[in-house]
Amino acid sequence: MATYLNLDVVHYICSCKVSKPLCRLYLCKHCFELRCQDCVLPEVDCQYCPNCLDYMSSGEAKVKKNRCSACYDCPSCGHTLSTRATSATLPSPDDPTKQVAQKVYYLLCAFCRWTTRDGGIPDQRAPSVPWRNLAQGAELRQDNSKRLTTLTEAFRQLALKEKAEKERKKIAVRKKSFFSPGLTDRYGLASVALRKKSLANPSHFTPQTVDIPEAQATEDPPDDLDEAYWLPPVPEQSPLAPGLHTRSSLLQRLADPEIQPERSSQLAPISKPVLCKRSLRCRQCDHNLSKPELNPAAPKFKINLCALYNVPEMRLYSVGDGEGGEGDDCCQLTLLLTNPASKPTGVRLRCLDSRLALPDREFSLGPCGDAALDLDDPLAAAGAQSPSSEPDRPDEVAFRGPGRLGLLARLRCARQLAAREGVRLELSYEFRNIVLPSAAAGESVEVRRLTAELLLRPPASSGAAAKA
Amino acid sequence: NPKINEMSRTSVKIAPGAVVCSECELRGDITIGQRTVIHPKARILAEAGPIIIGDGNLIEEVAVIHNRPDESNPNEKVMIIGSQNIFEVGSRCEAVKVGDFNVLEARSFVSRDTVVSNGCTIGAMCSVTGREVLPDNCVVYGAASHRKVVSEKPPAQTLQLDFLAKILPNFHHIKKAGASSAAAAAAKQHRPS
Repeated sequence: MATYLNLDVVHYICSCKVSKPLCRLYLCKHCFELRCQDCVLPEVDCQYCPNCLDYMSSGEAKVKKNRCSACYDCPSCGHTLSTRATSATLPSPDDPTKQVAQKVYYLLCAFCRWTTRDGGIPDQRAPSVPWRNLAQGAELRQDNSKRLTTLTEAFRQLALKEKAEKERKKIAVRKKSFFSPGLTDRYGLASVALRKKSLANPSHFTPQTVDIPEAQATEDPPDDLDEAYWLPPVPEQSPLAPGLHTRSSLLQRLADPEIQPERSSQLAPISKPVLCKRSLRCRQCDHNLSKPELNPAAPKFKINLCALYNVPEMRLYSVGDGEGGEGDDCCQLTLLLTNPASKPTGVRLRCLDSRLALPDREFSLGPCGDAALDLDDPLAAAGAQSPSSEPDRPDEVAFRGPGRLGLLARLRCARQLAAREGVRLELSYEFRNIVLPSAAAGESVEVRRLTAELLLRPPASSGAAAKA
Repeated sequence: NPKINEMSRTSVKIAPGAVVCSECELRGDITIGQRTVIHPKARILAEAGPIIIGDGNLIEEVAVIHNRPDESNPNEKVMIIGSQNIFEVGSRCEAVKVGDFNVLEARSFVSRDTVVSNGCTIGAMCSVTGREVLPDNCVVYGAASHRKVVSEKPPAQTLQLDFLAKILPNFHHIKKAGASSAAAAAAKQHRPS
């Protein structure tokens, strides 16, 4: 089918009047309307690492700074680093005098062959170590974080003190007579008064003055630039620009703002950033439209209200040449309607702007392919016959299949016009809403008649729409 | 017809210990060193001159090592390939001089003008066509064929070579070691078996 993946031919109109292909829409079964990505509120369920699929809650992710603790990205190309093992003769941990062959581990990028050895990190005895902290300059970064924590603590205390002062000012303005215990004890307000008094005198909670510790320079800045800062002299036959391979590229430097490595020897493995699993919520009625399982390794959904699973899908099956040929009016189209549900449903197509001549009656679609296999009657399963009592007329129905119906329609306007502006259709169908059990009855199925507006844009030239 | 001349000049010297499958295409004057493994469907074409392949190389399926005749320099040139190189599936090597411990990943291409030194890794689908000597331990990677120089050469694949030397004879016919030429092979065919 040539239009199988051509998503622009048939669009459904969302409740916000935007036209989108059906695969991008959700059906809210509480508002009974189609919702698109903009009508929907995304919420973050959990964070997960795309490499090891380890998932964590949002609170945990905040502590870990939205990074995976076990996986690293290559600082040179961004690929995921894999752990490799080699054996090296090292003094054994039990007896330092003996040299024993032991397994040592290092990280390697399979794409650009960068290793932790290039970054100056020695091979480790255990496969999972905090590689990033072993890189050069890690002590400097830890000193920075210590300074930051002392500063945040001091500022937090300052904020507490300022808040207490504000409260005290507020209370000091009001008249105190209302709050004297003798008068207010009738209503049990003595404890309230006591609490407010203690807030007004915060001296035993916070210090009167908060001093912010001064930063101390770790070492004197150098008088002149380090010799190693300068690039090495130009060798005679170097094909690479002289010493350029010892410098990091701009992208590599910006990928790691904590270190901002200037040389390639300073590149360190970057902790892998996590991705989020999100659930979608209808903005109008606040019900969940899509809620995946928390475990990223499980692609199932707890709630999945994609429109593809609930609304019959219409596709342009083929464009037959009318009697007059391509460019003329009276071009015949075959529209394919598919029932996604496991129960038969009745559909009816109506053209809203009279550009398309459609059979104007209700058709019933059998259940979709998987459910149809359970039916006893093989003919009904194949959907070859019309499930309803009325036989299909050959000038209306092109073919039938399990859950599928091919309708014949005739274009009443020029193909260029239909391709440019589209034909507006209305599809009304039966939606089976499974209502959760109430106290009285068990699970009941409520059948509602819903309508969806469609926009059909058949391609202008027959070269684009090859016949199936 | 130059092709007929080539075929009649096909002479392959296979060192003992090399595993060369019969289904590979060998044309021209080729010398293969010890413990080199050549998979079936590999193509070694010594068109413009002889090819000398060193020890411990691994030439995988559909790899092409081609000593292509060059209009600008019509003198016969000997193509020398060192030892412990890996020519992965679909790689194409036309470089006249290849050193040791190099890896030409799948579908990579090295042109005649380039001199591949030691320990280089030419990444998958990368092509190196400049007239230059690649620095030692150079890695070419990425869609734009980025370059960088790494601190050490790719590891030698001795385990893989040993495994292949054991397994390949179980499933493929192997060319016998020693010197052979097309004339002798033709004579063998005519002899009643």
